Amino acid sequence: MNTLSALIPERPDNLGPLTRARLRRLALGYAAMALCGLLLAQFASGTGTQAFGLGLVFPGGGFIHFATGGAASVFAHLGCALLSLLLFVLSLLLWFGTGNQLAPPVAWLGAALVAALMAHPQTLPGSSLLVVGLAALSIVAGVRQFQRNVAQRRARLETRNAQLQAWPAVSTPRDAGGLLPEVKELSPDDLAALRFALDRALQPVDAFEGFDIIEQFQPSALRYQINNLGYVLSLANYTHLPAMHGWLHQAQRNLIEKKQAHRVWQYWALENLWGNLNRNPDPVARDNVMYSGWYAAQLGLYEAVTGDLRYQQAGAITLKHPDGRRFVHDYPGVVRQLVANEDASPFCLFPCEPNWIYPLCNNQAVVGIKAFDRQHGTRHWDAVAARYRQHLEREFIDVDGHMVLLRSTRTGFTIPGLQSSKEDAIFCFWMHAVFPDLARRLWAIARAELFDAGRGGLTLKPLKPWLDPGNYRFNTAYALGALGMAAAELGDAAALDAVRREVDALPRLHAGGVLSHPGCSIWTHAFLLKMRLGRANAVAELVNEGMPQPWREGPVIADARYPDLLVARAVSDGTALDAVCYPGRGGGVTELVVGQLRPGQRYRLEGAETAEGIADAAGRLRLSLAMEGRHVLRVLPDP
Amino acid sequence: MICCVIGGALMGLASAYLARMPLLGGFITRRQQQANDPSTWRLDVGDEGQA
Repeated sequence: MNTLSALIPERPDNLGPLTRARLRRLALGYAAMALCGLLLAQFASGTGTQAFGLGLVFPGGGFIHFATGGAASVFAHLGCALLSLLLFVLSLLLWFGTGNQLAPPVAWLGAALVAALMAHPQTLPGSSLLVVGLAALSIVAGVRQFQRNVAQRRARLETRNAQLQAWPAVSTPRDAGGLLPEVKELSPDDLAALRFALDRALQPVDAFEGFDIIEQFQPSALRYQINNLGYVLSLANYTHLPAMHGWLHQAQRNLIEKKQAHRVWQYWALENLWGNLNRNPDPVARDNVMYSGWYAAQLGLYEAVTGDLRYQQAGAITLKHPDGRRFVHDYPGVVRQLVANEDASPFCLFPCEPNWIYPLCNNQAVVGIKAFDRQHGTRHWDAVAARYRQHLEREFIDVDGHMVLLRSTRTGFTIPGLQSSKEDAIFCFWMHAVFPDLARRLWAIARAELFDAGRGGLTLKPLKPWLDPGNYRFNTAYALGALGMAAAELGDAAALDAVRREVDALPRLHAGGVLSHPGCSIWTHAFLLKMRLGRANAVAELVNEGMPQPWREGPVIADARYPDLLVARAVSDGTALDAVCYPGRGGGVTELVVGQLRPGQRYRLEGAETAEGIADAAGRLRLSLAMEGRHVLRVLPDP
Repeated sequence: MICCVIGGALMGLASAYLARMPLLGGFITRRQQQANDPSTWRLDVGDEGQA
């Protein structure tokens, strides 16, 4: 253990400078609109124009101008006002959910126009005062709520910093020689859980069986499921199966190809149209870091763990539109576009849905950029890192140390109440590869808030059901997965044990050799898998250091049938292969091909049907295994 | 008169809407109820398995 992370810094302001500027601009814009509206309401001659003016002051305010006469008329016009307000709230939800920036102004101005068209001769005396009062009341209530929230968060900051125990950097567990990271064997449960991801990845590329199909705008969208499963398989490849190629590499490539299916990225045509007034459906060209950033991380981890550079080739990522258009990309081009978007954004971080910046998606982009830089010797990240960090800290970390999950670039708004240590845990896992000090600070907060250190050791405080973003149901599994994967990456063995005890108590289905948790989304399964497969510094080292040379160059399982041959551990020291295998469909004899051997070299085959063999000219050797259960295979050069 | 009709209809819609809040949540719940739990799906590997 070494470097200690700092406590939460006390910031002098409650909001970052860019956020403040956006809010000020919004306030001035509204003040100007409301003033114009009031002038119209007071001085225009027609009642329709007057109503339009009041409609500018408050959504649906124009109808209040006509809420007079008999009781029926009063109720009817108040009903119109109420409905306008509801439509406006719905338009805000649409804006948040799909980046539709047209919806709120259309709902607001549309209500004002409809009221104007009524143009009744009778008007409510004092309607202006009523509408202005409503607007003022809303603004005062909003400001007071914000002030209360800030006061609570500042109080929380003091309590936290008084109790917070910094979480240290934890060393990577090493093998017996002390040179290479330790490669542990997957337990039968963990192997069965990994098959959940493999099953989905190894189906035909154009099939989406076993995925959550709900909507394609928000977190239940297919794109996140594909990425998450890809990350899981890369992590498995790195931490437990570095010498497994065959179906494990194929599964990762299938997921990379799946992401190119039109049904996965077609949402962007709508979002770009109603959010940016741009008709380009190419999901990589602008914003949309939720697609391109996550994809870059998936490509980067795949390249880091496999050494396969095929996605460097021009046109390796070709997105085919049903109308015949092709959007031709490759990994270097995606990275260049991400950097260009960062350069062009005043926040450095740039939007997912038009105008909504999510720091987590931007962190994925950085993972993709950093992995690319390491592999290819470029310095994209170095050029942007300082500016990125500055804006991240000022605009996207709250006064109490929590991550702000999203912020509007146009208005400065965020959605209050979304921050929590459970969400921060997801940042811990990924941010560890980018800003390890921030990751450790977030983990220190989560650990202090959500765990109890009693006589019997560390335990997790009872979790309330939390929204599973992958299927919009409530469960504790999602939060458990997030905390577990963070604990694994940050090397917190006690916390990981505490979380795993809770995970073991979750409802589970063990069928067809696959372990799953009924009712949980693909997101949640992927999180639980990251917990099962992770270890201290796994993501940070895969991104920043890549595969050690002996793992890259030593013997590997090049080919095998899935699920006939399952692998719980496969690692090389550069000259020999050491693997633990299981039969996936009952016992029997199965074949596999060992690759990356020295051509013409004689090898001793421990655990195979034949005791020895000679590698062919391509450095490959086909051998058979007779397995009834756990089966150790060693392929060693015979001197 | 026309405003009474429109306003009344809108009030009715608003009441119906309020009774069913959240609309989006209701929509998603219906979609969920229609779908099988995807977590129980298993890959059909046939007799030969996947290469």
